[in-house]
Amino acid sequence: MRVLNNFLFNGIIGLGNALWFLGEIIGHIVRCRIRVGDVFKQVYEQGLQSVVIIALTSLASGLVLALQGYVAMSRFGAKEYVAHLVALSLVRELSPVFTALIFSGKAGARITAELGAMSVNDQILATRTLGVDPIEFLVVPRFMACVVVLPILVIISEFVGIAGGYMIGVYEANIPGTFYINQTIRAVQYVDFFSGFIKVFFFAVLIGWTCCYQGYNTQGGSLGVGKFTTKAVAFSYIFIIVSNAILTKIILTFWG
Amino acid sequence: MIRITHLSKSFGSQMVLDDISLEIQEGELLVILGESGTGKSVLLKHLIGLLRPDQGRVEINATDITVLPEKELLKIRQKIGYLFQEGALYDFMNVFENIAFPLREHTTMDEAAIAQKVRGVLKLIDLRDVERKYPAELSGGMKKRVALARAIILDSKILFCDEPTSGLDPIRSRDISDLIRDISKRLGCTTVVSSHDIQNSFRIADRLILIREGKIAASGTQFDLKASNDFFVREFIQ
Repeated sequence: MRVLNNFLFNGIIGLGNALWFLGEIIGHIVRCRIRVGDVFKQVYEQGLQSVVIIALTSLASGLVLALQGYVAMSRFGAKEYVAHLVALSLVRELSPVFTALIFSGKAGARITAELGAMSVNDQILATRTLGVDPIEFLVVPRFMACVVVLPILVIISEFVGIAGGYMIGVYEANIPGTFYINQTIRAVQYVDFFSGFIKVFFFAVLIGWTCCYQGYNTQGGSLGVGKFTTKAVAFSYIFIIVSNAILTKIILTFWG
Repeated sequence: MIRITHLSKSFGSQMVLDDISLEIQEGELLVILGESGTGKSVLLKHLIGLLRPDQGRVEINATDITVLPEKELLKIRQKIGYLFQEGALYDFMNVFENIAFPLREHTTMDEAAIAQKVRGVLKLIDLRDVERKYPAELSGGMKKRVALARAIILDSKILFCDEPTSGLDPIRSRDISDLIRDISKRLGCTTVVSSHDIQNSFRIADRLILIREGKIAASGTQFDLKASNDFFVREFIQ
């Protein structure tokens, strides 16, 4: 019972601290205390680091989706609808979720490890002793970069994934190329993009928040950096999966 | 002047600082001595507002910093230099950028003036041809020199140094100690150094205090400490 009480107490304190940290970040953004140059630098580093792996994963997803869809739909004589299947699956669900998961494993881990190393080497404390706000200098640029980069990566993922589907549709299923593209354009509505991007925004906030918080509060030397980085990625994955289920239900309820 | 009044701090059930009162005069170089883990660094962190005390006050030039919000503390800290044990230089900046950082943050100096000032400070700390190097490429002693340069670049009149000789060989330890004293006296800084390096502390200090179990066990010049009859003081300085 005492162990459970301690666990709950620490959990509540931890959640309170994490929410306070998010409030600090948002407070800085609302007051426009944003270092634009540093944000661009982070956007470049985080984006560049993740773009190749996300493109490859999306291409493979598009190829596999189209292959499976083609085989299944051919049984019902509906292979022309492969374009619909690929486009809608990617735009509404797969690209936002896969991209967010990969991004948290690459860029999110990098954020936590960087801030964690700075924390254990007293660089965050040093920032305070130099009269500079570490949230503004170190955290907000990384958080903002997540919010900027993830949607861009999702767009890349969607285009590459659809291109993968196109290759299978045209060269394997012998669907005419123009027909495939027209079907894709017809399949994806404004609301599909919109629902995908609502998710992406939430995922970006969750990844930025979780990874910055864990990095900023890292303790315990180099071992601590590893521990907190693993924790940040694990939490990000859980948050993405759980919030995706909740958001999908909400979006389907309101927009169908 | 820095005045510490009845300062106490505990971490959990462990009392680290126990009713410490102390005055540090303008231009004085005070060394805080004590065994590892006796709260020297904790005391320094209180002096710059990185930690809040459980009880007591820390006044810097008659301003009680223990009650100031972080935003106000950031302003106060611009006037104080702080040298961390390991330097705490930014890994992602080279030496020049590390030293120039406070100038870029807190002054309106143009790049030419910043470059001139940085080179002046590098000369003062006797470092050459390191401007483009990153902290990972520097030795321990060089890192501390660069960190010292960053700490004094804003012409701070107060300088705190946390274990400046830890991890250095005896020659480098003496060099960095002499450098701290030289800079402190040349710039007229009120300087507080935490250390357990007896020899170098005696070399540079105007006054020393010895902390034991969170309290000030002894205070005075090196001659006062050497003349002490207290068993712990005698054992520590020998």
